[in-house]
Amino acid sequence: MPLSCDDRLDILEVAARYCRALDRGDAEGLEAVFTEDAVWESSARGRRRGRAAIVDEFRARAARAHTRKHWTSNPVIEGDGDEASLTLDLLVLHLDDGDVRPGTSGVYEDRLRRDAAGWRIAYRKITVDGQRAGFRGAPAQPAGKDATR
Amino acid sequence: MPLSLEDQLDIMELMARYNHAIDSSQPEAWADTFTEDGVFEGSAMTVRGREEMLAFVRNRDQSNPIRHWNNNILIDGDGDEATAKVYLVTFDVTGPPQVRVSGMYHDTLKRVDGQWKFTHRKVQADG
Amino acid sequence: MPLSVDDRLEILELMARYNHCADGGDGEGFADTFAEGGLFEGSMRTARTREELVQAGAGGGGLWKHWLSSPIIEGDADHATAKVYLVRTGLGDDGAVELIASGTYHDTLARIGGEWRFTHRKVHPDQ
Repeated sequence: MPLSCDDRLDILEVAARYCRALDRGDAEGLEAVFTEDAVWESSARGRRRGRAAIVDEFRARAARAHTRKHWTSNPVIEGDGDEASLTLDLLVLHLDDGDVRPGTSGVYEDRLRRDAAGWRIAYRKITVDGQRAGFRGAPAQPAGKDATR
Repeated sequence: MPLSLEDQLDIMELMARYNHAIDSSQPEAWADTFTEDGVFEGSAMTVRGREEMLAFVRNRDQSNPIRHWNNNILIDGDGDEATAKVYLVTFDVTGPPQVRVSGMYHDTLKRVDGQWKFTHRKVQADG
Repeated sequence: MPLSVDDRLEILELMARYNHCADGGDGEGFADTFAEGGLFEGSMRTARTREELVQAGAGGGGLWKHWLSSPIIEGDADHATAKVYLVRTGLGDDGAVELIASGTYHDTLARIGGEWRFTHRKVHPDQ
């Protein structure tokens, strides 16, 4: 069964809740958007397996809460039944001493699953531009390299 | 009754109309996004009711063109009432875009004669 | 008949696909977002034929990203117009994002063979 319009708006809301939870340092809010067996993978920070490990990763960054704003654009959603994929561009704004400037940009490639709790992220891959093959001629770089260089 | 998909898209579009109206300095179009007795609470001032809103846009400094951008729109509601939280940045676009303000709108909305309008829109600036 | 919820979401997704194709240098995919005979009037070039559209879409691969906000879409069952904000970013030598340019797309769209396509997309640059 193809995704309904309801499904599409629900999936966009999950993506928005992720950004807001991250930016506020809201661990419970973050927990709510992942499935228990979720995998989170970043070209800058490597891979985390399981919701608990993902939330721990972000708890470690709690000091940065309220100094980063995650902006997204260009969602493309595909799927069927209870499975969906989402591709979404990401721009991180940095707030430092009253100054706002763009930090990094990248792309989210997600798989989402629906169960009794609704749509949640089962897999999220983040590739930072500049660590992505072909972006501004930059070669693909191995995971673990510092995103900010 | 929970909000329909159409309601949610209409509210997102209301936010877009607000941005286009203020950025191109159209007093009527901007005031039209609020109820007659609507309140806009900015970081530096508060504007109440249609007359004050029209005057606010007419008197705005237009020397530096800016663009309002929204993201991460979250809407809750029931029947003819709703609340929303939405990210905001403004870009100064005199030259290459520069972020001027980053913050969040906290909105309450009401459906009036079939159309969604802001009853209260409050800016919470970051930092 | 006004635009349905389906139509509005499909048009939003068409705008997103356009950006993905333009940013990834996918000329064929970019051209597919236009109707046959569709006209693209960018800030740097104009394209009308399939060949010109493929070239226009392929030219920017890996150089920049397009971002959009505040879409306003109006129309009926088979025709629509839209206005949507645009910002273009790139990467500086230090790897930080640079805001390069901004503007507004003015679009006309048609539903052709059940799918929404741009019949005319014109950029009104801010700078």
